[in-house]
Amino acid sequence: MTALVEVEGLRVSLPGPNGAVTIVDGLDFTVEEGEIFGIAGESGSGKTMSALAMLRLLPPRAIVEGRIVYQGRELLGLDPKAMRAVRGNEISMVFQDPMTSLHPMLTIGKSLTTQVRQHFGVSRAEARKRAVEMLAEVRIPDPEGSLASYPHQFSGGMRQRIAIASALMCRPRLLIADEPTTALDVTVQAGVIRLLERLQRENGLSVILITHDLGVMSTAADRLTVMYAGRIVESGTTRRVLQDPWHPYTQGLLGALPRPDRSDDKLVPIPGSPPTPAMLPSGCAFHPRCPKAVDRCRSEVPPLELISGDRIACVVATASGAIESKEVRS
Amino acid sequence: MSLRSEASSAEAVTAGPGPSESRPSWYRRPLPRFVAGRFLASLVILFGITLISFMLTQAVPADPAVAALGQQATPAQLANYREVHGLDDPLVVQYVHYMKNLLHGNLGVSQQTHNSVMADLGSFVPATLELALLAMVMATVIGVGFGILAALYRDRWPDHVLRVVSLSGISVPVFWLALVLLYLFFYVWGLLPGGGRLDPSMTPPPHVTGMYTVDALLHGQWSVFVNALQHVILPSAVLAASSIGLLTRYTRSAVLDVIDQDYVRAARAQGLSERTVVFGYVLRAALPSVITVIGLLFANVLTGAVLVENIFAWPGIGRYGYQAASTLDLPAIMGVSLFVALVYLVVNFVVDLLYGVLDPRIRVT
Repeated sequence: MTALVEVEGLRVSLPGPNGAVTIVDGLDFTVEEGEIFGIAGESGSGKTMSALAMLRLLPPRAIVEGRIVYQGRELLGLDPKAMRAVRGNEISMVFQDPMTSLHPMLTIGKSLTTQVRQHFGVSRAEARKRAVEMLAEVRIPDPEGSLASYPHQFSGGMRQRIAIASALMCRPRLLIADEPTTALDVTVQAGVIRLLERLQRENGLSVILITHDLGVMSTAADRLTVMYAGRIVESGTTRRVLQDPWHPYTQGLLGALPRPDRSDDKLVPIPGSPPTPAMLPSGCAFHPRCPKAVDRCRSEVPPLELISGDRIACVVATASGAIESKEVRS
Repeated sequence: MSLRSEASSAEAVTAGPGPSESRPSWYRRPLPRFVAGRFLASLVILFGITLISFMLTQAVPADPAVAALGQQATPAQLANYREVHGLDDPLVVQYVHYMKNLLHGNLGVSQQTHNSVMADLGSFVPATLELALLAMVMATVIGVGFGILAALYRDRWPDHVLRVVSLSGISVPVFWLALVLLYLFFYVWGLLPGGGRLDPSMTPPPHVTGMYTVDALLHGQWSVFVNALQHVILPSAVLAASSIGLLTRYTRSAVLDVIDQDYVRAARAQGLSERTVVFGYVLRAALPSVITVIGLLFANVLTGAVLVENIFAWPGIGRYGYQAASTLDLPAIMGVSLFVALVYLVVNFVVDLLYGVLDPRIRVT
């Protein structure tokens, strides 16, 4: 597999009253063609900011540094017009809340066709044909008739399907799905995730799946990156990260996950709450909440180390030697 | 549970609280039902207005007979007048009589012009309408434009400049602005005429709408059109000033309300041009609330041009109403108040309809 997009050293900072505040600090990851790549983390960990930075949709005052290379092109260096040609056309995005991400006063047909007509200059009839195809592909009943309907006539799950159809109208190669299931009922969530998987499988679509829900992540993502306070703390194959988490934060996230099959296990919340970007703790940002923190964690920012293909930013986990031995066993 | 996870039609359409099947078919379609409902409501309000305007004339501490015949009239003449006009009948009978006349388009005779009030309104309303329409075109184009600009450049210098401009427009007294503009454009520069609807040497165009500019265009009388336009520009501009200011403020806040919405961000994420994003998405969402304000301002301008019409010697409804009020010309006063009420009623009705057309969510409820 080849890399579709490579993100190197992505830094996002916003000017605040006391100088610039860094929201995302040195993000590196690669999305292969045709894979579902997961980014996990609590709210405020910089997931959404990174996604918006990739499409350059952050407000103009935001400072974005680093490199985002999409098929050999450096996105941060493109002029606005070239960037607009990438959006929707090559890289597209689905937002968290389908109640607000579709224009409430435009028909579904209008919402879906405008971009095709602008990107490809096709006729109205052709754009409508494409919209009907796409609505059928995301399993909207009566695609033809839905074109004249408005978003409020659909349920949340249906709206998210329509939003996904809208994002895929121009056949982009990469879809950034930012918490696409968070606002939906659990039973509807599975349908949306299955839809993303099918689109990936059948159309070779690459997906960046952003969610705080490790349950959703476990079924969908091929590889997974866990973020905390704007930095990557751990990444690897989803299987490995969820079955054998190295980082204490990932372990904590999994401990806080309800497991219906083991109802007698107590849920263990992670003590404390995530830091605000303006007041990051020294050293490892997780150390005030970490059960395994040692003195070094308070003073030293842990480097992101590459261990047998996976990455980990925790001096305790790396020093213990536990990682290598487990790796050998599996 | 494939029923829930894959698309089922039951999940697709959230059925509204549909009316019972016995109703006629048009009633079950949202938009006609919406229109019919609003229209019925307007009729009820109209009835209320006639009642209030009738009661008001009864409450005025003046004797219509004395007002009509003058102080020198003999008691016999007064009694005769009351007899002829049914002023001694019970109130209910008088009201029924008034309503009967009203339905026949009879509003009585103005004591001041000795024309029927209906005919007076017919000649004065178009003059005001011409003034108000041009004022609203100016206010809408400039005010909405300024508002969008201010919102897009929020807290930067264009926003600050437009804030000063709009607040000046709202707070400058109409008579002061009118006099300053007259002084500059008429007296100092001689660019525009000082008052009236046409130069005295001009013949008004044949009556179609009663608006000179429109009628002149309809008959291809180019020089009359230009002359009429020159006359209407200054009073319209003065009339528009406060509306421009208000619309700038309202549009700015309406645009700011929607500019950070997800669907605007989604539109950008689809790579739509900035023009489409601003006009097709942002302004489209802000439009219903802006339209409401435009409607109210239009009704205001149409019914509140008293000062401007007096300063510019514009023979419109404002001046007519002012003169009627100062001479206690009761039929004219009632006619003008009915007109004012009707304007607000019609404007609100139209705004409600537009609202329903512009925002599909309204039609459901």
